[in-house]
Amino acid sequence: MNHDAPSPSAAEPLLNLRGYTVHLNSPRGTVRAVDGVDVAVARGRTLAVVGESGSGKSVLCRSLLGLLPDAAVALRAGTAHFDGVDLTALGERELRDVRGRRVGMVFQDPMTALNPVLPVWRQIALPLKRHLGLRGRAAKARAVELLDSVGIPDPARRADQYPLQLSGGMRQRVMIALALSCDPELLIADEPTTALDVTVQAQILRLLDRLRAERDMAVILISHDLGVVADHSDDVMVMYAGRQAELGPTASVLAAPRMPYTRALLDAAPTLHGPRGQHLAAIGGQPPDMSRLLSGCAFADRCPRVQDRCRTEVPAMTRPPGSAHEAACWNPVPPPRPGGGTVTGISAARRESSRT
Amino acid sequence: MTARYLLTRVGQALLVLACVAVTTFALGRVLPGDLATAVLGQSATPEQIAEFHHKTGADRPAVEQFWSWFTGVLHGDFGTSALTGQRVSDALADRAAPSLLLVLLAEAFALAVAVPLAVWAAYRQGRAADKAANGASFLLLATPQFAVAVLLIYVFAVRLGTLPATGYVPLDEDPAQTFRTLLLPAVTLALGLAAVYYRVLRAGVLDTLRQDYVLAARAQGLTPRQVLVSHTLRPSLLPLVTLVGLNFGFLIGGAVIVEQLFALPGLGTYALGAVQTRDFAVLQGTVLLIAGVYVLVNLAVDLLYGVLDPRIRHAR
Repeated sequence: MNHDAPSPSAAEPLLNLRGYTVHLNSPRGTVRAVDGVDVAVARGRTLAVVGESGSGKSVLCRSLLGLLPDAAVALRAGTAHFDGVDLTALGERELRDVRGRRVGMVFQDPMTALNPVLPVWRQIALPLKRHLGLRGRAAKARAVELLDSVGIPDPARRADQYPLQLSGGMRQRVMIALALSCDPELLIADEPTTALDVTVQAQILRLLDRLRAERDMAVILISHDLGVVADHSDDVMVMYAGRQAELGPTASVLAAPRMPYTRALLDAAPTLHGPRGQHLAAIGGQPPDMSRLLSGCAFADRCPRVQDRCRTEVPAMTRPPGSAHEAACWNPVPPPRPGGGTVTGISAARRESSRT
Repeated sequence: MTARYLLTRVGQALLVLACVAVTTFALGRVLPGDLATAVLGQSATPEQIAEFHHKTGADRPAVEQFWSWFTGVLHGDFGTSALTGQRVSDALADRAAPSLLLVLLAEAFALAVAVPLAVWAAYRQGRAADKAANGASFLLLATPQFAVAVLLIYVFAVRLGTLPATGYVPLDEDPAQTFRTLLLPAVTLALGLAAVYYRVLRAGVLDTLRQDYVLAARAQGLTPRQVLVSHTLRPSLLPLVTLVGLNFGFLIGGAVIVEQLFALPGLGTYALGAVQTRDFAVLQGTVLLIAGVYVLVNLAVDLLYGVLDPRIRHAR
């Protein structure tokens, strides 16, 4: 996966978040949905964002494009520079020119994210008209081309069909064609394969990899599937309760996780190579109440390596000695002995399953 | 949306009309009261009444009466009014025009106001525009039709003198004048309809705005207009279409208050008079015509469902 590409620190990042924070209004008070995130993505590279439900992954991406209802956002702080422009400083009208045109978005469930009453080509024609001024025959021809480019067979016939006439995998391809219709520089894929069959998942992820390489696009891949992350991302950011837990090159984070939460996530993921009958390690306890102000590490209550300091001081992202990536932890997991790595197990398992 | 489906629906419609014909006919026989006393007066002798019954065919067996009326209807002959001697088919033709035009105009006005307002209010949910529109719709719903009518007559006919308060000019005499005479009654009906349509469509649009595909549409950078008109309106229309169809059928014969207040010679007034005088030929003909319009409009509504929503079309 892009191993000859320059590292993200060497390339000028396309998207650069510094101290990015989003607080949401909820009936129980303010929720710190995203809390001080520092991360960057360069063109041609894929950043995976990993975390359990409610960890702030989707809020992070939706708030970047101003897609959360105004009334829901209690506070937005920090900066989000996209190609030199701070997205947090843009108004709704300016953001509308960024959405779809410069940043495309693919949603989790193509059953609900496509309009059931519009033929496929009409849905694609709307952003084409809005951003590129294409109308009528030109718009339809371009829509058919796009359907072809995402691997939909017989695109001219499919263009006239409604979403309910397409299979789940094909609908997600339509969703991708829609997101890429105006040649965006950044693609945000919010759990693009969660709603799909395993075999179709692999096809869609390979399609995203191919399109990213062809278009030199930056990709943010939101996922909770570590196998997907291992095979389809360059860098990974692990989030827990709205905060960053671990960030760095995917191979390094998955092979030598330093934050106990990441370790626990890896232990909870199934592999084909573990001994038969082995129980997966579930993470004990519940994520913290995010409407409470936490005085220490958000994972402290569930952490097997917890110390007194973890409950009183918030750990910053730092690079532990001997690590190739950053983690936010006062008592990091020691690096594994050379030779034994979990990442090889996961990606081997994934490769095997996608071959069948 | 196959030919077979269409045929089934037309068959069902004809069956409904046949049932309506039998029921109205039977209803006329069981109602107390006699046309003879209405025509001849309370002082009529039994001989006079018997002669009247013989003349109008009321002394023949009910089945025979029904059959001769029904075969006549199939040939476009609805019989004659025993009261006036006028052919019922001629009277219906005269009175269907003002009723149909009135309802068409009222529905058009109501939709022209309610649709854009409902979409806009739903989009601005909770803001000032939404609150104002909600308040106005409640006010209109709570205002009786005759109050609206009297207010409109006072302002436009009495104070401004720009529109006639009562009367009707047939379409083939002076179309512009027809429109002017129908304007106030149509607006009276439309205000009440618009309030209902507004509420139903606003609720539908609010529901659609919560759908994932609307979020996806916004994520494509579409303008609010594109999001609302291209993505949101059509999936929100089904309940409104149903309601418009039902109201259309209902108002063809049910706009009696408005017809009376504005002295419009419509079907509702005609039917009401026939009930009061037991003029059965008129009553049966009017009810059958109204039922026919009702069935036809609702058939059109069903077909429109399939056009609006491919999920319904493909489920058939």
